[in-house]
Amino acid sequence: MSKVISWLAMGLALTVAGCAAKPKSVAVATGEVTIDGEAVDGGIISFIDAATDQPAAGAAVTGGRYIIYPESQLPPGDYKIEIRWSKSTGERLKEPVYGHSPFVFAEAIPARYNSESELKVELLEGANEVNFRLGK
Amino acid sequence: MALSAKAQPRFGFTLIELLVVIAIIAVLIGLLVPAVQKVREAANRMSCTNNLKQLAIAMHSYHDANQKFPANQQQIGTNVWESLSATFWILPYIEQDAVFKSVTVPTNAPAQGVSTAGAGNRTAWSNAYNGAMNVAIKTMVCPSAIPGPRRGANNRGWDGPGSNYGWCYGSRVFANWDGSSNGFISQTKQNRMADVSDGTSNTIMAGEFLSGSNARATAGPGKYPFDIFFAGDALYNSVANKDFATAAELDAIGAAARNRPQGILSANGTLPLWYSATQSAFNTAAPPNWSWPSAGGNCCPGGSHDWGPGIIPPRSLHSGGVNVVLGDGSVKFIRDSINLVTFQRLGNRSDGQPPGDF
Repeated sequence: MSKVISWLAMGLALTVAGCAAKPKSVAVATGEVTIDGEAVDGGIISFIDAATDQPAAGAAVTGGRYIIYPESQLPPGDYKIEIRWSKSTGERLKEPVYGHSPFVFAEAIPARYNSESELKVELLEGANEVNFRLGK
Repeated sequence: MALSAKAQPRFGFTLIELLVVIAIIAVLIGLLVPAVQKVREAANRMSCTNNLKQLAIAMHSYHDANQKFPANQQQIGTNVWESLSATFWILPYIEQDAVFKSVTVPTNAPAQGVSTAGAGNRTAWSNAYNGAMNVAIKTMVCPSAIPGPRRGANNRGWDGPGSNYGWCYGSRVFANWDGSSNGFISQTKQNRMADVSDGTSNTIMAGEFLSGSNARATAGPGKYPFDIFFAGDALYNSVANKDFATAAELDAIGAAARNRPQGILSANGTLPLWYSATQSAFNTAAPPNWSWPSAGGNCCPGGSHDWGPGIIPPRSLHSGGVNVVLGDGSVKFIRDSINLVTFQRLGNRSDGQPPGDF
């Protein structure tokens, strides 16, 4: 009886091993984003594949920090970085729309960090700590 | 005993033979059950396709009569959110004339798409909310979807008979209160056929979504893919091109919504005659059955309709995609793997670009 069980266990183990997918290599990134020393809060950081120029993953920048989660399936490699932060100017809209923020927003990050980005990083497999302490 | 078993011919069968026959029958039934399930899902999908077709034909009938499509807002109560959806106006064309006639649009109510606090009539709204809006309309429910919270089941009150179809607001990262909507149907404006400059066969008119799970309101935890997770307005403001958000920007908002929600909504997909996105409208900012939860903007002053920004993609429980109906009345099954820009262009009525293969 115990022989039968051990054969069954072995068969099961082989089946499971055979079905398990080969883990894809994924880069996870986290770090700090500041502009002139001020923590970016409510911005978006985009990782754009340097070879294909296609956006590969992104993360919210909240309280000056971002995390690219493993679910984003970001492969290790070279990336161009774009950072945008639409920041409230403190001024109020003349005719606020119901359901919208009543404040006026303006881009707080210079174009050389987003639409004409010069920021480049190389991500390795596993955890990466990449900080962006930007100056205007 | 002179009589022996050998001499007598035997009639009947042994226990073993009986068990073998039963085992064979069991195996055959086992093979049949999954096939029955598949046939059932295929029939449900066909019924869903038919619902969308009916909605599109009804919308065309309305346009024939009025030279305009309805806006997805007709305020009838004194508060701006006490408003009916575009679906209200097509009720007579989907054999729901009795429901249509049970609602009185007050004479002092603003025009379609316009909202004015203080206009309208309190009684008209409460009659509609407790009457017409609580009537189950079969054409508005996909048989494959799981029913949402019924009236009285959710403590915030925005629950009802069930709604799995909505009008397409376009590709912008806005759910409600978007004056620049680029979809076939807008909340704030009555579009005409001529406004669909990409052509009706290249633009999505309506599609399907899922109902909320009735998770604990606002506090959660919300349930993917059914509930809406609030990510805050700030991230949406930081999207560079609001008409065509990039995969990276969607990723950022989706991850923030799932991992740090400011709150959740679980009474969505319940009221076909209520004006807000997730009840009677959606957008094509993100691909169908998006891998992140559907996301709203700032959370919850009034539940599910106060927020402007949002990513509310179509969703279904059909495997691998969703049904949509294009402006010309043709129903298409859109795969989850559709190219993002193609899908956004399909939702956008006037981007001026061919959508590509889908």
